[in-house]
Amino acid sequence: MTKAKVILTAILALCLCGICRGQNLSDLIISEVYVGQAPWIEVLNTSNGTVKFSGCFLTDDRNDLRKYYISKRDAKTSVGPKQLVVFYADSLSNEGTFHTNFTLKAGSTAYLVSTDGRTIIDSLSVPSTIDSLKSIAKFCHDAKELIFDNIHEADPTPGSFNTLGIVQSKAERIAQKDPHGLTITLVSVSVVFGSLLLLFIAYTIVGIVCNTDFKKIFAKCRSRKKKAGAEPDADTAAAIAMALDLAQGEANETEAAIAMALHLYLNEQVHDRESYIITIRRKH
Amino acid sequence: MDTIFESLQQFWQYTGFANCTLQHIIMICLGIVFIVLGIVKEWEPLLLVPIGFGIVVGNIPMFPGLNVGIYEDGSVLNILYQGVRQGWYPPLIFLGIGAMTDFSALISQPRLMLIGAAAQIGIFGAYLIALHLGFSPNEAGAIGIIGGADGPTAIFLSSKLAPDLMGAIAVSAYSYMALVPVIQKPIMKILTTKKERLIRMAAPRAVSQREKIVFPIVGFILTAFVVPSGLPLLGMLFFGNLLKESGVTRRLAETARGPLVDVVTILIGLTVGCSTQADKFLSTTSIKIFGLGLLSFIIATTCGVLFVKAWNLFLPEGKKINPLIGNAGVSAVPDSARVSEGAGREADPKNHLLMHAMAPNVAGVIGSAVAAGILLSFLG
Repeated sequence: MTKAKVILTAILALCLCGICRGQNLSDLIISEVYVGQAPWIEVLNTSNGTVKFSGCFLTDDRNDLRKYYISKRDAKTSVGPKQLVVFYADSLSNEGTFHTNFTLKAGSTAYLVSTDGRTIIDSLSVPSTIDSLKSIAKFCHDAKELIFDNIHEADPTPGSFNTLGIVQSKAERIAQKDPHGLTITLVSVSVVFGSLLLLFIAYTIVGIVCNTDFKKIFAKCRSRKKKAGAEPDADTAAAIAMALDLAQGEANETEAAIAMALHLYLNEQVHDRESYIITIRRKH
Repeated sequence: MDTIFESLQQFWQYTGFANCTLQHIIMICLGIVFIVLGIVKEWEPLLLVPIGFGIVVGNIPMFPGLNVGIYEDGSVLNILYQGVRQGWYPPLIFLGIGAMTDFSALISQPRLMLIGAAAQIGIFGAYLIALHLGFSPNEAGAIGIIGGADGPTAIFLSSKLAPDLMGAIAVSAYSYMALVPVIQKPIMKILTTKKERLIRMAAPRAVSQREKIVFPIVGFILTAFVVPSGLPLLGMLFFGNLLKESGVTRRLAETARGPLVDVVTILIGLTVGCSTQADKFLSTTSIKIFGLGLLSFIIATTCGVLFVKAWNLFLPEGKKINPLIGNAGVSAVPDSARVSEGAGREADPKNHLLMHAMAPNVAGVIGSAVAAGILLSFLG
């Protein structure tokens, strides 16, 4: 395997690692906890992809992070994008995967631990003074933004999204803010024009850059410097002499043209770029 | 004997004849009209024939539960329909379009790109009217995109914004794409003077291979940064073009513009046609969508032509643009460019506008994908 192939494979491997890490366990949060009768822990997938949580752990003990193991055998141990899953923290683990082997109480903390048994993905503490009819929940301000920075007591809503205020779709918000559609229309038309104007500018520049012979420009600059400096070298001098001889002597235009081209090439770095195919027609 | 009679009677209940309604007959007739237009008139036959046949397939009367209908989970048609429903087919078609389109006309005259932007006003004009007719913003956005004259984009956006209206929107978009010469030509003639129609434009310059390779890369990065939501369409369009122009991926380009796009066109046409089942399709909403689609085409064509006329006021003699290429800003490639050519040659048989019209035409493809991305960002 060549060095280039090794580098390419390494880059691809890194990219794949990045993709694999794209939708992972860190997108899970403990969104709500209830410690009254039949306590439960609600876990939310905040990502836009399905997350498989089998092999993770749930615990209420910071010193025993591997307290309840979420079985890998249960096919239901995955949660869809922006979906929730509820675990009953009722010490009835023999009743299925979604029943833990510990009972969550007021004053304790629920931890969701990664498959390595060490990394805490998320936690939620329950105050010891909590009303037995209330849960503790993480709320987000906007169902689209999904920033759960508001933790407080609430009415228990297992399996439901915790948002402050009414959850509106984008279209509903637009209908409210811009009922006649004029703002959207003006903004959209401007963006379409802006995008194509941007492309117009970009392609104009690309066209200029691609069609400029920079070698020629550099050569001209160099020849200017040369002219300003020393006498032409021996080859150039010979070519010039030959050109002059031929031009003044026999009227052989072909040789004169070759000599002139040589002169231009050697002295001023000027030359045509041809297809590099020379065809010689034999004279009969 | 009684058993045989009962069996036959039972079988009769299973047949299409027993379950047929007037709506089924109307839709089957519509499908046949599409097929006839495609075969006899040769109006977009690659689209109208599969869609027309799909309409016939989707409207064969049957009783539910056979698990063969397009809206029945797990049926063959339902599985194929997922490509439309989930929006997989349109980006694949865009890949093929990118691999078959020569953007040289646009690269050599980038200023004509702005005509492609002007024609997109049709989308937003129809959006405004649809809102006033009582459609919700996302439905209005999906209906408006018909004005982009781009079937795959219309399917892509309606699958995201208004899946229930997708059948009507797709059929409307493809129908009007087939009718581009009929709709656009009279508008162009009304809006231009004889003197304007005679304007001759300088021949476009030759485009180097290097420019052609740079085009999809720069184009993609710029447009995707402005409208990331248009990524599936823009990404595939420019990727297809890079395959074509790079010169080293000839096989991939040939597959993209050949077998791949053919397969997807068959599937998209057939399943879109099938999705127009009488009970879901024959409604006043569909009629409104057809009306709005026509209106958006008219607005798009008008804006394209008027934009060129207005632009000409600021251009010096010799640099003026023939307004007959203004209609080509919609992305019905290459039909609207052909309309420009035809109209140009009617006024002056020696004036060829095709190459000039191809520039706004392909800019229209980019513009409609950008417009779809914007609508998706706001309403999705």
